[in-house]
Amino acid sequence: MREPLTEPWQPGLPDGSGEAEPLLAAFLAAGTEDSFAPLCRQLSPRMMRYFRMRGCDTALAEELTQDVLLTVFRHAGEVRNHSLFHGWLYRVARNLLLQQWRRARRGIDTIGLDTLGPNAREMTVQPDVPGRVFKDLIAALSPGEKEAVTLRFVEGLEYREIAAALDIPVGTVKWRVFSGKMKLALQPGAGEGK
Amino acid sequence: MNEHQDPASSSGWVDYTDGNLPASQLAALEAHCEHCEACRDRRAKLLESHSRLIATGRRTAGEPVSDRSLHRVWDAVRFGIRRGGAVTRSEMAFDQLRSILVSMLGRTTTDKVLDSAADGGQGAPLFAANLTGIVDVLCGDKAARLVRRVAESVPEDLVA
Repeated sequence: MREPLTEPWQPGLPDGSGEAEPLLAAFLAAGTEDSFAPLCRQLSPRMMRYFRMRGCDTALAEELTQDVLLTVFRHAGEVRNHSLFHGWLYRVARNLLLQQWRRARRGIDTIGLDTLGPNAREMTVQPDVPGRVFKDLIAALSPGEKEAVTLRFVEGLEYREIAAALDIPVGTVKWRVFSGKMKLALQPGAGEGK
Repeated sequence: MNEHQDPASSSGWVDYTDGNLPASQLAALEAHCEHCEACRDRRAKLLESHSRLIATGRRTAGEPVSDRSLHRVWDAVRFGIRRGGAVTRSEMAFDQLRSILVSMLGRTTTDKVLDSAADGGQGAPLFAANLTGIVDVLCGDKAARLVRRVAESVPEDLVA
């Protein structure tokens, strides 16, 4: 049997690129393009990864990341509780992604797969989808569990930030993470330890 | 006393695996697990899953994003900030093309050249070819090659 964790685990920023809050504060104080650049540099990789992991190709991920960052530039000052900035950020990203999916679905409805030619199926396959290993790991989880677990363990959000991003109570987030972990434990390969 | 009482809620178990369960609850949970096989099993499973998620999550979060991508994003964001509105990549390409032409030909000539190149609405490929031809005559081969490269990334809807 494993020993319980002795060191508290805090998600923090997964890429080790530092905290966003001081950069956000500096930007909100100055409100200039120059003061936004460091924040933008810090958030861009996270947003790119977020969209790429959710099936966007590089060009679309860049466009959506750009939209998120422009929203941050214009509206970050309206986020009253700065400790929930990441929750708000991922909510913006999620809403943009949902809009994009709706648009894409409308497009697919009108185009029809037959009109795309024989290579249409191949066009949808992306061999270098980021986060494939993680996505494979959580494949058996429900969509809600996947979202909560990914925001927690890849994006490194706190539970309250995930709750803000998904607009659900903190208790529901924790339940989804708990339930996801239990399902993972039942998968083949679990329990072999590393 | 056969009825099993869970020593922690789902939230409590999550806090436990995170290492954030308050000391009093932690002691109670550990004490319970001493004599409860079902909870020991659950604890082992949760810790195992937690470790896998941390390891795989960190690896995923560490996957690099290309510098070129990040530069393109920043260029577009800066452009959007200065322009005061969100712009698409294709709009940016068109604006870039226009700036290049204005620097070479001036504003008035640029507008005329763009109109001529798009004349007939025959689509982006022809627009790029027309424009390259005009710039070649006016500014030479080197400028034409530059213009062609940018013009080819301008899509149909902006040419019309």
